[in-house]
Amino acid sequence: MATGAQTHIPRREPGQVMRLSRLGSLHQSRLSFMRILMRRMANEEWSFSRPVFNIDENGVGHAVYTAHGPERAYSLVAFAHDLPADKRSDRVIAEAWDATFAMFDGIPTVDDIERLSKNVPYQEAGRVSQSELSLSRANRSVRLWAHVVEALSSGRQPDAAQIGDVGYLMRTTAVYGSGKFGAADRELIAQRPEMHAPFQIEMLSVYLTRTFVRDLVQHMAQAVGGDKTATLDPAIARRLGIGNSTGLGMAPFIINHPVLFSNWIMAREEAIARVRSVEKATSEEIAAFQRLFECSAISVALWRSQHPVQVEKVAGLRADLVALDEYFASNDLTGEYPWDKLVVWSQDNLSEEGQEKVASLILEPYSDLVDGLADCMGDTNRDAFRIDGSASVETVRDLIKSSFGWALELDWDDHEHCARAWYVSAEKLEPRLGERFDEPITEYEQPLAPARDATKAFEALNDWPNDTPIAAFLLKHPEYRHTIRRAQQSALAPYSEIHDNTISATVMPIDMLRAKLSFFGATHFDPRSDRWVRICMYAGAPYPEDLTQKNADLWVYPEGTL
Amino acid sequence: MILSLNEIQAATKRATRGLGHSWGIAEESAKAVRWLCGRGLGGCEVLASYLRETAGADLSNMVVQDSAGNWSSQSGRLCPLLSGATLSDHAYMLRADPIRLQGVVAPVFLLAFAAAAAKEMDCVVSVKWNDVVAMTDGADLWLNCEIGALTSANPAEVLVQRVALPSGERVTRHTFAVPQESSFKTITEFAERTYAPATEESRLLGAGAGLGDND
Repeated sequence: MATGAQTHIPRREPGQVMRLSRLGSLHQSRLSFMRILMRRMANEEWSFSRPVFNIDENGVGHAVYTAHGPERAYSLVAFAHDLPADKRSDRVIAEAWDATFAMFDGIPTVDDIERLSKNVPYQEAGRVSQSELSLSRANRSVRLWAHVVEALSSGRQPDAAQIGDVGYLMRTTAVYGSGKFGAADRELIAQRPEMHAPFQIEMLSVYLTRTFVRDLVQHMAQAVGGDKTATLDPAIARRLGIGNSTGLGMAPFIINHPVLFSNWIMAREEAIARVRSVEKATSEEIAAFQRLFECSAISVALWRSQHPVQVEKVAGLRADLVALDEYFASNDLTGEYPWDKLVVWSQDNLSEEGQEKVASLILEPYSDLVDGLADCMGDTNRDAFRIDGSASVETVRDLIKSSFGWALELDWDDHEHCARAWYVSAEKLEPRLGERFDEPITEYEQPLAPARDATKAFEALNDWPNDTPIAAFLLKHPEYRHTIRRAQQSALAPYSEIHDNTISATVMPIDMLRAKLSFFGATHFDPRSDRWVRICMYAGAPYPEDLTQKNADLWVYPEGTL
Repeated sequence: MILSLNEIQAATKRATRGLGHSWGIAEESAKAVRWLCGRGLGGCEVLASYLRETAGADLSNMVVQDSAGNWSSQSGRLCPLLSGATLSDHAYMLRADPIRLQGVVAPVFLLAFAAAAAKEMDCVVSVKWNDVVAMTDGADLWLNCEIGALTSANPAEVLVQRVALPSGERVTRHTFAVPQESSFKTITEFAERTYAPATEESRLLGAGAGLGDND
């Protein structure tokens, strides 16, 4: 963790932060991966080009979009398809899409594009190479796409209300990175400065995809309307993001990458602690915060969901914003430690949605305290994997207690506490969550219940003297290696474990999805069920040709500028 | 087929679990096979041959019985993953004495675990059996033998010890692997044992979709 900033207020405790309901209430912040990317591209004055746009009047063909950084270029190779409506599915079991993409490391040759054209459209059924850094696909929002093409081809601008209702013309249904289907492993590019922060390739892919989609809808309108076609108003185009539709496949990630996930949370918690430790806010900082607070209210007003849980949460957040308004009426933030007072007040007066909104929002005026933490968010500690066999049984027991003290008293045989089991389906090799007592899945269970497993290991350790090296215990009980490793990793990564039951009858996997997606920088979470969520990315962001240092960061807030 | 090391790691984890190991050992097997592939040692072939050789065996009879003295198992055959993990855990013992392992199956695996031990102790560890002398500082590997010697007959004894400096030919690092088709097929078959058969109910319930997407 980077040092340099003075903090007298500690980071929030893992026991407070790592509850599922709170992780499921996180919001984007200055440390979101898409904002880190946008700031870097603007600061380094990246340039962008579209060397190929070879798409016919039926919307079939390919295009290349290249981002040129100071040392290297990255290209999105996009394939557009004519997809029959009955084939359009966001599920991972789909076999065809409206558009498919690969991120190429550099600038592709004609031969590269030819090779990719025989593989990328087939996604999981194709193969890419070490020249590719990600593989992805997207489907149209059918109703908004049709509306925009129809309006533009008739010489009109699309209806603002319909744009607002959906928010995007296409949604990605998977973005595969690091080594998937033959692509380059992350390890091969992780040393590049522009790739230090997590998921930068995937974020760049989505950013360029958004530009491609804007160009494609204009092209299709032109094919229909000819000379009378209107050019999409740049202000409307800017409101359009890229949607994403995500199911359970993403949920285990934050359990399977404990050190990495801890680094994300730790960076944000450190940023929050630093800002809470600011003794006096300047009038500029207060004004910036208040302006963005007002913009946040606009963004929340635009947040649509039909899922009953999220409807309730958004309603709670709207009430929180009203309560915050009242707070600011009597607290002008000019006193001592204004951000700490605000955070403490929020903990007693707001929902978790509201508390986390405040926690993200107070970071905005403090780029100097916060932005450098982006460099601490990758997982570079490869040595954390090895179990230290010389550690004592007592040390390991203490570590387990620290993360899972709450779980040790739970009756794990009670059906309510172990009602679910995570497994991988033979059909698409994707994680699923099943009912342990209704389906024959227990023997296929994935190690995604760290709290239960830690409790079992803790009980087994009861019979061993405190000063015994853990190596001796593991010699007799290799079945606990997974849990002992995690316990030792938690010593280095305090936010690595979820302090909740991930297999209970009431677990909401969308909480895990949201935790991850909020770090991507997603907004407008719209759950479709307890394990499936749609989001929006890059709505409001400048397109490549408009990107400047001035607009690279605060586009996420409607009308927001500092 | 060219495979990324991440793909090999993921497949290995599942295959090792499919053989019957715990998830913890499966994770370590996955790292080990990745390490071997990253040094051009045919990690997938080593894994496939190990899977075939130990399929159906009682793995609990292939663990190190006692970490004092020579390491051996009840059955006379030591599992390279279980004993490799034990070696990594007991790295600190190498400060004082060598470790001798008897009856190790597919001992090439031990190189990856010796590498973990070397890294932990910031030293060079040598691994010897039959005509093989290999040394590692954790990241790099030096061989004093033909690569083919690594996968010749299982030895009676493997000697692991600290050495002052590495010697031999340093092997080239690789960023991907091209496993033999038959090897990867074996790995895939064992991995499949970890997948729950799909039912129509699980398709809808388990993945959590069910709403139309043509909107």
